[in-house]
Amino acid sequence: MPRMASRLRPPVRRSGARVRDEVGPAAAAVSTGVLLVTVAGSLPDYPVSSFELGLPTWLIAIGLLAGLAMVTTAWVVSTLRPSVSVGLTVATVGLFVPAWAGWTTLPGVAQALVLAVAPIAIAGVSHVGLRWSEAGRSPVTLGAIYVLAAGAAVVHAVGYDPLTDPGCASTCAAVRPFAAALLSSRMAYALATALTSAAAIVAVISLVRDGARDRFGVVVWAALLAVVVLAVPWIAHVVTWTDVPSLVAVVLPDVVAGLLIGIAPLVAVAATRRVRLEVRELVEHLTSAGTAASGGGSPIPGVAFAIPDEDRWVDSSGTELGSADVPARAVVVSDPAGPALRLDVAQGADAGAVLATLTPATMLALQNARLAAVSLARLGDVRASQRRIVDASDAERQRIERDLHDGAQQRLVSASFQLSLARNRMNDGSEALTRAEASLREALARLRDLGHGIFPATITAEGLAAALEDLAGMSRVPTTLDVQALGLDRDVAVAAYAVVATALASVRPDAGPSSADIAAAVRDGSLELRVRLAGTAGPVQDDLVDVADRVGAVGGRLLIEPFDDGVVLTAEMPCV
Amino acid sequence: MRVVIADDVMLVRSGLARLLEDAGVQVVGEAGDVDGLLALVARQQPDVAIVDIRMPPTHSDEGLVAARRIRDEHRSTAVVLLSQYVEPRYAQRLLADQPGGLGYLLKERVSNIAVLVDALRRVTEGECVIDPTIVAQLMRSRRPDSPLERLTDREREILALMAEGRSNAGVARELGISERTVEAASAVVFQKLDLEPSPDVNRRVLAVLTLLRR
Repeated sequence: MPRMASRLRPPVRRSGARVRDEVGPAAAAVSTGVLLVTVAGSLPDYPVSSFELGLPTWLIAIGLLAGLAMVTTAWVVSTLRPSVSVGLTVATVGLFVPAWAGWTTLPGVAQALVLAVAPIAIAGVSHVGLRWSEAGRSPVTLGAIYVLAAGAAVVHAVGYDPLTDPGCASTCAAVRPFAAALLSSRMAYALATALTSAAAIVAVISLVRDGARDRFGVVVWAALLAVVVLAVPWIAHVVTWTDVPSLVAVVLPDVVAGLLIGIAPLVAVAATRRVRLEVRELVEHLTSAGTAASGGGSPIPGVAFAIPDEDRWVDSSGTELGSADVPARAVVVSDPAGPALRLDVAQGADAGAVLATLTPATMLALQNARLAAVSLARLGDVRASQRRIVDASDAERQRIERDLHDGAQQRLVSASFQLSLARNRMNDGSEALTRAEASLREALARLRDLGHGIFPATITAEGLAAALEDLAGMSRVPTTLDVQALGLDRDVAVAAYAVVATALASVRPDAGPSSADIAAAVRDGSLELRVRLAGTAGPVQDDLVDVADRVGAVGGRLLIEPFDDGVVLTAEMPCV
Repeated sequence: MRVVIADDVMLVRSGLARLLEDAGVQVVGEAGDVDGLLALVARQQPDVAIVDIRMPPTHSDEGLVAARRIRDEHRSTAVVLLSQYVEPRYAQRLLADQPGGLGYLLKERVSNIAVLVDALRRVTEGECVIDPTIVAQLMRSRRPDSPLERLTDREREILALMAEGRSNAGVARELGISERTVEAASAVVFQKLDLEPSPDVNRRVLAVLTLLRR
């Protein structure tokens, strides 16, 4: 069994999209503001600010880069995935606002508050990872992460006094928490760490579940890594309370997390754009050329279309695909009536990315291609049935012919011999005997016309040209023949023969001067047959219908047009 | 004259045999299929084998194939093929290479025993005999570049009658002209068809060959 992603409707914008359209840019603006304020607020003290003093320039540069990446990404995805912009903004706040604690201009309470914002970063990062998919998950998980992170922030804000934290840098001096009396700093920090870790664990579990589905790739894994990177220092500090970590060790995880969550979505967007371009190419290819399969290396090597209410898949030309054509990996898109499309997904390609590219416009084009493919398939069915009907009637005709040959004809021939014998024996030239012989000959001639298979073995044995020569030879009017057609399918040759036979049979020399000109040639993979009949109105309707059925059964068409005092029959039949 | 008959329908076979014996032709054997016919010919070495084209197993051209083998393996045995249908292709396939000693007649034609006996005699003399219906068809469907185009209508009539196996006298009788006129006209026909002077029978066969090749 091929592995197929769950049946998904194509992503459709919900009706609340108008409001959501404004959420993304607003969030992106907020994150931009946070970054600008951070840079602007730090400038007056730089490079002598006690906070920045311990930081090497390269780390500050990378931190700035991470911030720029996050803000840029927030803007890039703001219209398509506003929720991701919101997540990035929350992460920006959680990662950059604590840096404000170094500003000497801030009052102590504010310094404590900005420092307490740090746990929020985990929620923001998880938000990005979990909301990358538009399909969306239950908001409960994300809500839980936010509640836990906010709890950690509150506990941190009210209970943590850096002054009593041996691990805190000297700059923490001025920070004064609200509830220092209730909780020791270590207790407050441990509680905040517990809540932060809980948030991180919930986030990791959900992200692993998403990541394991192989749907949203790089962003999910980046968020997962960022969450872990952010959570580990909390736990480490609780455990090694008295160690004084270097400022680099404190800041580096934040910078790494920022880079991960800032850059991963950009990478994913670029990859998605590539897939989208390829899908568009594929769709254009499908809808114009009518053949499946795009170039090698495409994430979607092929598309199959389901015939409604049947367990059949066809390609875009309507050709049925066998079980050997079922790809190892595929995405099935269903409509309310059942499976509609199957997009083959190349090994190593991201099925989620493929699915994400199915915009309404692409879907419309694919549905269009499906309609065409289904019509072609149905037409093929009708042709096949037409062929079977023609074959069955031919078989019946041959059976009757054989019956006539083996039965009535042989008896009549034998009777004519006996009559001849009788005449010889009696040595009698009586008129009655002569009349009997004449009517017997007439009966045989009629029977021969009736029974002679209208499709002689000559067609198969020696080709259409030879068979048409015989027909022309039997014609009752002057007939010219120009046949340039070799190696035709038997069905096509028989249909062509039937056209000529019917046309010639309709010409009556007694009705005035008449003639027939027959031309047949193969052009562009199609047999073109023209029979020009002068001095006749052409075959009667019933005969024409019979012949047109034959021509139609091989996928061709028959035209009859008036021409001077006669008609031209034109048959075009594909013969490759 | 000793003949054998091959036809898968017993009624036709025996009817024909009685008709021939009545006309003084000695029927030395009958066969219902190709194998029986070939064995019979090998055993009896008849002057002529009368063979139905359609025989078991496929009822298509078994008789035709048998006729070829008889002409190849027993030069002294001529073959007259009988056909239920007008199939000029069969005639062409049979006669196109070496028409001497071969005949091709519609079955219903042979109820006129005189025609059949005449045809038997002509094929044993090395000529070829083609049914008038088929000759007429071949004449009508000749190609534009055929040498037959060089002939006048009257000359084509004479050639057609030759192909049907008529002697000069027979042709003269049919057309109501003198035998000398026929001889002169045939000489012109041979010349127009680029046939070098040779024994008369041979040239007649070659002329018919031109007709078959259209």
